Amino acid sequence: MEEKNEKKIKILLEDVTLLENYVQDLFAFTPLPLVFINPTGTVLDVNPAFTDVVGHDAYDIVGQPISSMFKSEEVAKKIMNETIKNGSISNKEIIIISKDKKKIPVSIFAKSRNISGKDSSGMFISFFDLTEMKKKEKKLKEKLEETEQFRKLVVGREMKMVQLKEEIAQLKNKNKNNG
Amino acid sequence: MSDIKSLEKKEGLVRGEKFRTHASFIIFKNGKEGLRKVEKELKALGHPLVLEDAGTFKWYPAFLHPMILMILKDILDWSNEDIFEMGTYSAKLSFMNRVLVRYMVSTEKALSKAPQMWRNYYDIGNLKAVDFNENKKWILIHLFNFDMHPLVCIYNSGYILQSMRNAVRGSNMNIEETKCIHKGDDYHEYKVTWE
Repeated sequence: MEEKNEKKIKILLEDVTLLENYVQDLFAFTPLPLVFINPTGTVLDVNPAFTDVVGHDAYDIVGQPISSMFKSEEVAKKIMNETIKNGSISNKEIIIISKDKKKIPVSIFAKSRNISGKDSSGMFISFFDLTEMKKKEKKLKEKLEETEQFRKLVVGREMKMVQLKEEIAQLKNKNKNNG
Repeated sequence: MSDIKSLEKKEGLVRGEKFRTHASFIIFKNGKEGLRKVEKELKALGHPLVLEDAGTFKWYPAFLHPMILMILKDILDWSNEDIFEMGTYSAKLSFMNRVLVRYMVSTEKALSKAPQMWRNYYDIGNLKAVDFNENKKWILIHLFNFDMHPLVCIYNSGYILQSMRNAVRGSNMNIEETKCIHKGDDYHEYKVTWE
């Protein structure tokens, strides 16, 4: 009986180790920045994609408050409270601050982890870096403005030409009548 | 290194995850070359172990922990500050800490579960938070029946401090081992304070 239990425990340990490896690999592979914080807002886990974006490495940032990466403590509290209240939030545009104080526009997603459906044991936070998208948006806006100006200029000239043609036609008619 | 072999007499088991985080920190400090040196020394002492491959949930002789710390001091010339830092690093990056995070819903819950969390790592020793004063901003932790080595006390100080930083909101957190069995006391006592 004891041998059977020992065998069961050995298999369980092997399974748990496999599960651990799977979780670690998945967390490390995910190309989206991912951070896990506890209910007090302390960072407990980050993946490599997260450290790449914010510039802090895992050793520096684990144990730090997540609010240090937002514009203010209030912004961090708002996100956490909303996530706990609704279970999750998605597509919220905010600014995060990197290690070298760069402001990074991101679209944030968060999901609360609950114990037995009751207390929150923390939350996962992920985000899309919108920097490139914002740059392209700005360029597109500039191009549109240029195009609009050009259009106004061209249309303006066209209108002017039509007006001049009409005036010429009127003058010709007048001349003819005076004839 | 003369008393390193005497560590083999110490009883008790520790989870393999301890050695995986050791490996990670040794690489952080001294690169893979440093890790290879430690493993070579362990093998020479009769305890071959590839630290990175240690099974997270598997049990190993607890004496390997202080043995590795002594090797780090001797072979890689680590200071006590390095040992302390390794303790904080382990608490930050421990997979088991992250898995057990369900206890971190509040400081009170985390502290009440401290004995259980200790038991997840060691099958010897009893850890408990005996006093938590949120107004005066300090926590008192006792560790009974745990006789390893003074270097492990330094490591544990780092580990406990970082665990408290994860569980308690407070700045300028500090830890002091105010009682130690290696100094003649009956148990280890750690006082954590913050602002």
